[in-house]
Amino acid sequence: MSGIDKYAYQSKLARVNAGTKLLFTLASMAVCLSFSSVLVSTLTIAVMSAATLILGGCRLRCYIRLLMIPFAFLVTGTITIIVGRISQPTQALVSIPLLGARYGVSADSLKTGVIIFLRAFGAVTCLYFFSLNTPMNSLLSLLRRKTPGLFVELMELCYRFIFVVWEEAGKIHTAQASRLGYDGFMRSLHSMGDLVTNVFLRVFRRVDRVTAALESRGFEGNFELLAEQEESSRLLEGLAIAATMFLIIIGLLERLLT
Amino acid sequence: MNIIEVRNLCYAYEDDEPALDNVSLDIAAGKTTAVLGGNGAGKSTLFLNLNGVLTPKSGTMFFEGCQVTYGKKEMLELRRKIGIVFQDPDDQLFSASVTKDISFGLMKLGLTREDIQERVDRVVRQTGIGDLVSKPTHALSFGQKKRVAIAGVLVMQPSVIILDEPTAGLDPQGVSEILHLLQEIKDSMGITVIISTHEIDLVPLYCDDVIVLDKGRVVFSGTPAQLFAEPALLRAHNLRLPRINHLMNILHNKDHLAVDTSASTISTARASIKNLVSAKENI
Ligand SMILES: Nc1ncnc2c1ncn2[C@@H]1O[C@H](COP(=O)(O)OP(=O)(O)OP(=O)(O)O)[C@@H](O)[C@H]1O
Ligand SMILES: [Mg+2]
Repeated sequence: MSGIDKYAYQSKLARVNAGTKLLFTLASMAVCLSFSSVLVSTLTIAVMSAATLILGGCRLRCYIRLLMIPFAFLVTGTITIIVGRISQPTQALVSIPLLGARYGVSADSLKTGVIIFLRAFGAVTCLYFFSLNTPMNSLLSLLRRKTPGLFVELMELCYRFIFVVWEEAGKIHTAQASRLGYDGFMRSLHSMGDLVTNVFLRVFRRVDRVTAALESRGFEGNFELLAEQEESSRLLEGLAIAATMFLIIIGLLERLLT
Repeated sequence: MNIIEVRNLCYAYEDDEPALDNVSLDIAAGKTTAVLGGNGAGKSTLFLNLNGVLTPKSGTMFFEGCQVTYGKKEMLELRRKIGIVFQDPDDQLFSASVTKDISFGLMKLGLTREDIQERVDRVVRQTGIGDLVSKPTHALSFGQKKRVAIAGVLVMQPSVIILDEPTAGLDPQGVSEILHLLQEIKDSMGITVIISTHEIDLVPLYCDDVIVLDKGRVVFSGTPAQLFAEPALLRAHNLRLPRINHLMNILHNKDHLAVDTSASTISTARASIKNLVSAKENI
């Protein structure tokens, strides 16, 4: 079991109704994106991180490590906005002449860049709140209520058997590696080919066995299952409404005062 | 009384040679029956025939005295009453959620949500998997998956539960826990248990009857004591005596001690040896 999947099951909010968490995520994300404001975005980042860390109980180190991934992308993305060609040299904060024009950072581009960065990062913390606190199983229960059954059933089966197939591929890989199957480029290609073929064959055989097992439990073509019990959390609902209202009010006040 | 009677059952995968050849056997109600036999003897094939996932090429089967017909409705009923726990729990557990997997099959019985939840909770308690229900299936260990698989079959309240190699791949602690669970299922719920196993040593401890298969044929059926009284038959079909019984035989045949050669468990062997020693001391 890996990364986000594992943290989501360990979250203190794991058993809380997924719908509440989704609404909270979408509302705060909408607020963060619609006010293009440094203050609102920063507060969104603070509120959503606090929710993940304190309410969800995610460890700070894991959280920061996971945030580093989008962080790196956002930084490289916004650098191209902040640094650019400068038309009016008076606005430049730092600039260098290059091929007859001036390139550098202006006050305007800096402001746009920072705002874009913070808005995007705010949205990321909102989505992280959802993914780090909502196990796939509970997300699937939520989807089951809203989407066509067949679609969710397929997702459920995929989510279960991805791990089984992954484990099987891992075992084959270990077996090959322990007999020097990945020693050298050509050999690696060869072994990888064998691995893929083998995984396919095994999957076909497993399909037979899984079908037999399902049939022996009375499978008739539909996966009707007991919905897992979820707690409805008045506390989270209250906090979510309060936090969203708070962000909206701060955003409006900032607009009025400037 | 026999809960299952099979007469002259034959089965072959496609055009291969028969995997089951003229099999006739009786399963006594409320007992634990072991099905022994080497790899490829036909144990798993027999089990799939017993609950109708595979349809026999010929032969008849009686369940609770009635001949089994292979109509759609009858099949569903038969599969509800004869549950199979598969050898590899990854074949059986199709849901990433433990509760959902256990509830599968209950949904069709026309029970209310509360009844279903109640039955799931009860079987979770019974199989001791209370602390696993909040975990996803792929985060469980092999032994834990096995328990969940048993729970998923038990929840249907079957009359017969078939387990294909329930102890394979478990540590000693896991083996004895599963076997105690099976004993309890049999004693408290009156469910007939059928297991296949390669571990001869646990047969005299937990099983009331034994059936030996070889190349798709039934070559023995009777009690463990009757089976272990015929070492030649065991050898001929790639089986062996339980270690304890083997020891008692050596003590008797080679060392000419008057021990009980039918003793196959630690407790019976101990009683027999103590008897012998105290008889000697009394002289
Ligand atoms: N899906 C299949 N397709 C074709 N032949 C099969 C299939 N499954 C089993 N067989 C064959 O049927 C025979 C009986 O196999 P079966 O799996 O019932 O043996 P088993 O007693 O369960 O063995 P093991 O102890 O290895 O589990 C074997 O010869 C096997 O090759
Ligand atoms: Mg088998």
